[in-house]
Amino acid sequence: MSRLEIRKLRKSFEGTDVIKGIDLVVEDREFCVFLGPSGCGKSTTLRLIAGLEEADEGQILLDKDDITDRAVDKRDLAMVFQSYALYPHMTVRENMSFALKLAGAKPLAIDEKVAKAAKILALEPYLDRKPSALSGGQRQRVAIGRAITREPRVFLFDEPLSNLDAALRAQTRLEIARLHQELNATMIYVTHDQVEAMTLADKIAIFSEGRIEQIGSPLELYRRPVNKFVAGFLGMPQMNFMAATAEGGDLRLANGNVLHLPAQIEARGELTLGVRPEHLRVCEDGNGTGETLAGKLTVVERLGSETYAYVDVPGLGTITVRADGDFERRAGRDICIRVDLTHAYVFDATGKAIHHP
Amino acid sequence: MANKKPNHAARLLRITASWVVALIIFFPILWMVLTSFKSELDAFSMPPHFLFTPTLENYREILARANYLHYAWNSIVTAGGATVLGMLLAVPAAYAFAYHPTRKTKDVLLWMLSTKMLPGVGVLVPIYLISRDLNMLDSKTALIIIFALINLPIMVWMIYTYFRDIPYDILEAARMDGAGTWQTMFRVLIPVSRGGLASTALLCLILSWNEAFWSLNLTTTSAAPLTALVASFSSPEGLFWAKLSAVSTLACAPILVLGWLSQRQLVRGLTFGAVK
Repeated sequence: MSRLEIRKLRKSFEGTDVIKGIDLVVEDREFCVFLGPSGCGKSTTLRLIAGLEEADEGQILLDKDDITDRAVDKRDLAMVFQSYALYPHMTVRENMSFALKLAGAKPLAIDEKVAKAAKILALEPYLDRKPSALSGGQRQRVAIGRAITREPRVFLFDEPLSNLDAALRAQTRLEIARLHQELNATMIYVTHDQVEAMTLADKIAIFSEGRIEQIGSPLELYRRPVNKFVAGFLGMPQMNFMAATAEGGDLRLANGNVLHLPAQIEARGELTLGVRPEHLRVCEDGNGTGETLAGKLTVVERLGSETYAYVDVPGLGTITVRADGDFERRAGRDICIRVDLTHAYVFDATGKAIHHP
Repeated sequence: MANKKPNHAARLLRITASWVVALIIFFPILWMVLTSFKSELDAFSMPPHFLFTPTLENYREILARANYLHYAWNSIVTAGGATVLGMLLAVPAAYAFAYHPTRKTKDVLLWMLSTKMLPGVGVLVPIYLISRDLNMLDSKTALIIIFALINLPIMVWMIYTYFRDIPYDILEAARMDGAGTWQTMFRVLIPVSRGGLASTALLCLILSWNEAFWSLNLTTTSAAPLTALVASFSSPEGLFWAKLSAVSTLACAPILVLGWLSQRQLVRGLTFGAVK
């Protein structure tokens, strides 16, 4: 059992509040991803869990034990660093066995654990090499291997893939997913990459400015974001936001179009309509009123399997539309797009979601 | 292929220039060694003789007149002791400066370095009096402490620079792996920075070995190192160039050999931060 619970965690550096009260539960064997832009406090939270920083307030519980003030080496956690942080003067084998040696494990047991980890990570041919003789991907695997041999109660990953190139990142991402299934361990993973978060996580915690905005499964967050920040942070390309006001239960966009949503809009004041690019379609019959928007196609990005069309709509700004791979129109032409109102979100002036599909 | 030729010429020029510079730097040492094998008459002749009958007379006379091994032993003890003491103080200090900096760290470092700008003679009288009151005149312990302290700022600075080049993540990884402060220092930090530490130690050793000001002022016989022996040959009866050269050669020889053997380490250490 390794269930981690964080209660009302706070941390400030030189008078600046960095973590402003975080509550979170990571269940046993769960893969939890901390996702957020840089400087949002996700890495600091991870370091607080690891014990590399001291919490100002709050509690960190590992199962029933309060580990808030426990020394780093007594927490039984392992961390994989962004920079790999391998010991450059030690071979791969020595790197992976260092913790066990410090703990006074028997040489036979150490060899066995190192061999097992090396097998899982396909590092067997490199055990006697120094880190300097390895590629970036191999170094990353050694860093993970160093964590595995310790059999910690919780694995902590601090942006482990951000130093790898795109192809290797995708491959290592798969390996980490496989590893999680194989080891059946509790893992906490910090990243700013939503693809990593969406693909790896059982549970995502979205961070912003020292707080958790929302916690949930990847699809839950994608489909039912609680606010504009979460809605905008998840999804590629980003959700389109259009300024609007309520008008007798309907929505009037800033360009004058009136939209009749499936549910009545009760709120008043400044609102925002949110529509993901995949819920907009290029239409042939639109006249630029109601749920059809008239604009000019400014940029077309063809990715092969799909096409992103960027449309300038007067009064609303640039709207992104996801179209098919065989989308043929060229930039500079007038175009009409239709909003799928069954998939529209509405946010109030504070950014809170007040209408979901 | 057209640009191959100028490259070749530039390479030749570079090699020649390096040899010229190396020879200019090396010449005084070579001249000292040559002079030590001349007779006093040859040593004084103008223009200087490059061809002469070598003689071991100077060395024989020096060894007869003074106990070389006594002075050499004092040099070894004082320079070696100062290096050990200096490293023991500098490594933890640099560790603290590099990994636990405060707002005043930079100021403290600069202040430490600024003490090197004070001429030694400025504190000669107080240090002489303190040594006398502590009964430490003409004692190797006093020299060890003084050598270590005058080299400390440079040692702290050098080690601080090496430590700062080592990613802090590595030390944090060691802590996560269960290493305490001492284990982190001895099993990770020191092995990783051994090149830098070795060159710092070597520099301290060389500086202490060659130190003359304090050796001359604070010792007479029992603790006098080789620098004091060399100075004793520029006597009131006149300069004896050949003998002075011979005793200087004897004084330089051990450190020269040591420097030669460790030059690789030294160069690596001295350029460690610069070329990374």
